[in-house]
Amino acid sequence: MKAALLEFELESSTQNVGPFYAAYEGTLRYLTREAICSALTYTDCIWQDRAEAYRPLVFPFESTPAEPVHVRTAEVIYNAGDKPDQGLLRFGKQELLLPGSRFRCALWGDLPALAEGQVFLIGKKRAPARIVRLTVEDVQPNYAVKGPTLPVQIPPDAVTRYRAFAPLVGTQRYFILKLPLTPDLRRFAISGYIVPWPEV
Amino acid sequence: MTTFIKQLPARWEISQLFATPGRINMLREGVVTLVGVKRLESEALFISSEGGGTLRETAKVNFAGKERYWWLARKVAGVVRRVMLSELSVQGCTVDVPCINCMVCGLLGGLNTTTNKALASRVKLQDLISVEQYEYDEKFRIRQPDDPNATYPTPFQEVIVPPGTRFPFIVRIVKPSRFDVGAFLYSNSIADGLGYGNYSKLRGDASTHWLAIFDGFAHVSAYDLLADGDDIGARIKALANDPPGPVDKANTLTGEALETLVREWTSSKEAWSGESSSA
Repeated sequence: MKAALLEFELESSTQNVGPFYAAYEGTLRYLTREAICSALTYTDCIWQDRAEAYRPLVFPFESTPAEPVHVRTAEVIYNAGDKPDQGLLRFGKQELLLPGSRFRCALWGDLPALAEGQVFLIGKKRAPARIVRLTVEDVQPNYAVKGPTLPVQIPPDAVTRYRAFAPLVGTQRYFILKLPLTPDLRRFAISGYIVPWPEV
Repeated sequence: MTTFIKQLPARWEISQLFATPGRINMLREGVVTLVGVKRLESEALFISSEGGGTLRETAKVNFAGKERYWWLARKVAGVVRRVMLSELSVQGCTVDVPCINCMVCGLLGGLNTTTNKALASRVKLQDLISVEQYEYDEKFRIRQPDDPNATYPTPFQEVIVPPGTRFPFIVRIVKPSRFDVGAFLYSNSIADGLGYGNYSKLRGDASTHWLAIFDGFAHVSAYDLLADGDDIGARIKALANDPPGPVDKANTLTGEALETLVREWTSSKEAWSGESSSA
């Protein structure tokens, strides 16, 4: 099976909006697998079909969420429009992932074309990012390899299937977890990292 | 001269945009990548933090090995949108309540919280990060009192972006039409004259020198342009000769052909709107 480990750096500020209340819009430090797969297949929504909002996106390859390698954030003040009482977040503070922030993720399956220096658009407002490190390998799934582990993203209702995990991000749509490398956890190794690939 | 830009579809109506599948492949629908250099013609102040006391400091970011001036993309997008609404005489659409039914919303997108209709912007701007290194140079300023009988002015301090500061300006337009490219070039040139950032009545005006327009999603990286020294104009020209990414190289617009197109399309709306002037 083909797999890739890639690291990419943001070229513009963006967010994966997390907490959003009291005129404060925060960002999560992780980017989702949907964000990664959409970005690398250059697919995007021109308009939102709300009936499709919770339908899982299917891609020809799988991805871990992107974990922060070297991420910097800043809180910026925000003031938009002329009337303060209309629309969303007219004034307040936003927490942004800053340009230069670096993320790491792994992909496997029918991989898209990938190259170092490749630019793609990701995150809120579709910030450009460029691939700064790329390894593509043939990998063999197994139940034994050990090493530093990448996170996995699962639906909230699947969390209870795991006997042990470390929660990194929890939202209504997904959880991002670190799973311990138990003997029954399928995984593969790429470029020194272990990618858990749970069977359910 | 016929360029690929002039052969794009004339314009997308809102109904056509909503008729496309919500999820599109950018490479299949087409992308135009515009690359240039924005240069401040006067000082500017891009405030992103509350600051302390009476000090107002322009935003900065560490990028490509240096601390640099940071100009958030939305500070360009906002001015361009206001110019477009005004220049295209759009009725019933404002920055507060975008109608999601006009040509400006069709290009720049928006969310109407009353009708719950939303369109994504097809113009993908990115933050502008300066070629020049950030320099903390505190200016002492005075604000005169509004009350003519008051005797004491208010002193304050500013750290501004000096005139002449250059920023790589990379813009991508997804599913482009002639109208989209023309309206953006036209509005950007007027926005440059109106100015960006704080107190743009008196400062923040800029000029844009377009250096290449690519037919496709060019993998042009601001990091690569900034990391190798100051002469970004030369590097953009070199990129234009061999653009990376899914680009139809034969269609790349540079030099005289690009300057002619930009001159023509920024001087007259009729050149790209496909309509004759009623004035």
